[in-house]
Amino acid sequence: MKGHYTAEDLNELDELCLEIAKDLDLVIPDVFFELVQPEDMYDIAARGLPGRYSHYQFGKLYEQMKRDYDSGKGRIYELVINTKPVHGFLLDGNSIISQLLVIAHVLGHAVMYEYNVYFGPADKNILSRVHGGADRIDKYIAQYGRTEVEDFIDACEALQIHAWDNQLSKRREPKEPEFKTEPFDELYPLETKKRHDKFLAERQKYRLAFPKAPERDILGFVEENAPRLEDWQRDIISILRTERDYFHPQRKTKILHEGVATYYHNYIVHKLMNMDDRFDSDDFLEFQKMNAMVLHPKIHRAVGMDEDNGEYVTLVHCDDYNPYLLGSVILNEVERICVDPTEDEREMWPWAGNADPQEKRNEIIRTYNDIDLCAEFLTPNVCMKAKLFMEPRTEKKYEHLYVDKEEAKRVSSLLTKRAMTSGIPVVEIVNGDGRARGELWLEHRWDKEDPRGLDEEYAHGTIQHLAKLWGRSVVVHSCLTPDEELEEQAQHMGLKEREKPEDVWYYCEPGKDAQTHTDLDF
Amino acid sequence: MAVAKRKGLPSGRGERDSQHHKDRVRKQITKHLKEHIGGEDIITGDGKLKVPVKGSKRYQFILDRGPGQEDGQGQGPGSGGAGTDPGAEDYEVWLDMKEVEEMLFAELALPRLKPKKETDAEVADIKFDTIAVKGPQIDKKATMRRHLLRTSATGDEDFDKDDLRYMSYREKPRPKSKAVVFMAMDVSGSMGQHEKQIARLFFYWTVRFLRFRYDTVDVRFISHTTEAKEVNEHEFFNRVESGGTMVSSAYRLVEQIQQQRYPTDDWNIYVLHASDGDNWQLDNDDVFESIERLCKVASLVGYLEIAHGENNLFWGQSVRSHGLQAVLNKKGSPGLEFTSSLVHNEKDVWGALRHFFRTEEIDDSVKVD
Repeated sequence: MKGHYTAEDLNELDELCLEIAKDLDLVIPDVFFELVQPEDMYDIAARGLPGRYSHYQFGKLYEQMKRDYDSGKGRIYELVINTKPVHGFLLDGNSIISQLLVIAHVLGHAVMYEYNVYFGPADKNILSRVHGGADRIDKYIAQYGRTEVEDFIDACEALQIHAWDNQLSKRREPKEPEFKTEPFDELYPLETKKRHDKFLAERQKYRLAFPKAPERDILGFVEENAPRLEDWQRDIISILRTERDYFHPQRKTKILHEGVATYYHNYIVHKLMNMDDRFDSDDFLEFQKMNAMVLHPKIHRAVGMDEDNGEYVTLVHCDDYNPYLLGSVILNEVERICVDPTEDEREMWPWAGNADPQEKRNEIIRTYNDIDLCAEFLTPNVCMKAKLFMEPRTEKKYEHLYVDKEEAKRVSSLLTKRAMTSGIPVVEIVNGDGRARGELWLEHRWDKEDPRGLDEEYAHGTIQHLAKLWGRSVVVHSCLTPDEELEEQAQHMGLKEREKPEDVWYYCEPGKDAQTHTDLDF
Repeated sequence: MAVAKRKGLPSGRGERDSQHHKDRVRKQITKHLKEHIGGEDIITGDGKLKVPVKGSKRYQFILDRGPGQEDGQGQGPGSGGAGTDPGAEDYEVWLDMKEVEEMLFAELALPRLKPKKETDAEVADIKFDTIAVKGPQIDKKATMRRHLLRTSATGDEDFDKDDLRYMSYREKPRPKSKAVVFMAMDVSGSMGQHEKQIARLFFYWTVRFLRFRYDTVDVRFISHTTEAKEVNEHEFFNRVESGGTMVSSAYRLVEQIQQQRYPTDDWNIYVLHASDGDNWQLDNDDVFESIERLCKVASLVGYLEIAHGENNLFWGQSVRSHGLQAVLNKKGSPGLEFTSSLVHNEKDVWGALRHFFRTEEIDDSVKVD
């Protein structure tokens, strides 16, 4: 394939890819590709969405990425936005083979956007909202000053991550308790009165509760209830929340998303290069090189003790998973299980051995997210192929990696856990009128499997932001419901005496420094 | 569906935002500099300064990083965890003295600077406000206007190269104003190490500021005890003397030099005087009268009083009420041009500079005149 290309050439490649993608059963939704200059590409990458509001943090990111690009340290290949039609961006100046890979890859993303259930509630018109928001924020900057607006956005961003995890189900507020009369109430007036008193107390408690149930969407609660926010500030919060909700399903399906996209580009490009004699072996080599880069496992080597013979050798450690690699390995494994399962796999999945691989893959694309994927499919086989392991290995053992069931289970539980929480502690609003003086009370309940409190420095920084938004004092209660098992676990994890779980209150008045208290005496 | 190439120039939004980020960092650096302007390290460096920038840390609730923050090794996949990235830490920036001056002095100016008689249209300001057919940067608005004009006349709808208009500059003559700044420093015995250091700091930055900002400013240095002497710059900053204090001698010398060499028709006159305020009692009336006379000719008569350090045995805080500033204040205002400032330590030096060389006051004071 020649080195130089125009938009028409890419258009032709797009057509070819779409033709081949028909093999994969699911009808590919419309995808519009735009070939853009590096300046625009990195601007969009820094913002996450094209045309997003102006903020210095985006400028900082843009500068870093642009510097890397200019010095040849790194470059971006693909960007894709979930709209209708799906909007993909190609970086002008990349080689035609990489453009082909990206086009095929983005078709996979488009399939996910179209069919995956978690993208059901996604707003396909996000770009017009983003532009509208950007215009409004520009207006606020002109009116109230850049620093004022940017600082406010900074404060909101500190809390943005806290939201309800499931966008699919509707949340119901608890109803006001009702008094149920029973047939023989009149015969037992004393008991009935007792029951009625209890009911009255409960009703009173319900009526005073604010919010009615613990609220996880901190920004949402602030937007609706903060007493001293001005209209423009509430508007900015609503803009930020809209954009956050756009990114939410993508965070929840990172592995599956990249897995599907990688599966698609592998299938499409392999077939295209076999079919079309305009591609020669050099092109194939270039494609394979890029593919290998995308699928590189995240490992690092360090000197350590070899447990077998007590010598110091270079050990291979596993740092993290590579979503591209893990996702595509899982999809390939599932296809294999459909036709040629091992004994163990036959026991695990009733459909193993007699399912249609195509159908099974589509089912996964439609209904799974990362949590399900990690919980269900991290078998020893997958771990070996995706190079996931807990204990460091010597070079030789890494070469022929063997992961047993026990270790695979540990990997699975760790990754499932991470997919569930994304490492973000659960912090809920429990009271919007704390101590009857309008204080905002939040609660962070320690995780049983990972008994750690909040990082003090960051908790202080964050509640200072929150106090600024709320306009009154803010208290975060980091607590642990007493539990012997947990104490034991903490000891087992080697936490020192003072780090043992105990209640901590972080307290901050607006405009003042945050404080840490170990009792309620403040 | 389709592949299309984006037409036109890049939006430049990324560049603009990155400029905003730089501005923010710059503001922080300036703020830091102002607080540390008195620090030795800032002046004694070899033309380069190290300034810590409080990184824009992005706070969120994260789990305790614990004592073993850095042990990311051998814990299996996912020891890091998304969303727990602690964000940017503080970092340090090395700055050129030139950059520092630019940042600091942007908000300072000689007040009430007026064009004088012998003004030659010598200094040229470059203004970037005209349109030309050639140039470095396209003026989109002008180009569009030109295009509309042409197309509505000819009916031809396409863009033409001739439509392009560029931003361009022109030179604008600016009236030159000459100014002389008299700097008088008390070097008598009551000025201890601490007070002299502050006075020197103040004059050091003033000189730097004047040289940075103005090409045609004369500076005259005067040091005084009971009598005043005109000295050169090196002597001014290094002379050590002792003895009594008679402030009026300095003002009289200023008057004398001004009358002989700097006629008010040609020159803007500025007088700055730094002392610990411990003047010979009987001299105070003379000082007041001298200042009154000077106010009639000068654009600014600034008096900087340096409070004694707390560890000074002889001069406690009680002296303050007998200080020259207090005395002068009691006598009433010698003139609108007179202003005084009290500093306690190095940190106040920037405040004093701001006080004397405020930019925003220029307009107001002109009206008063």
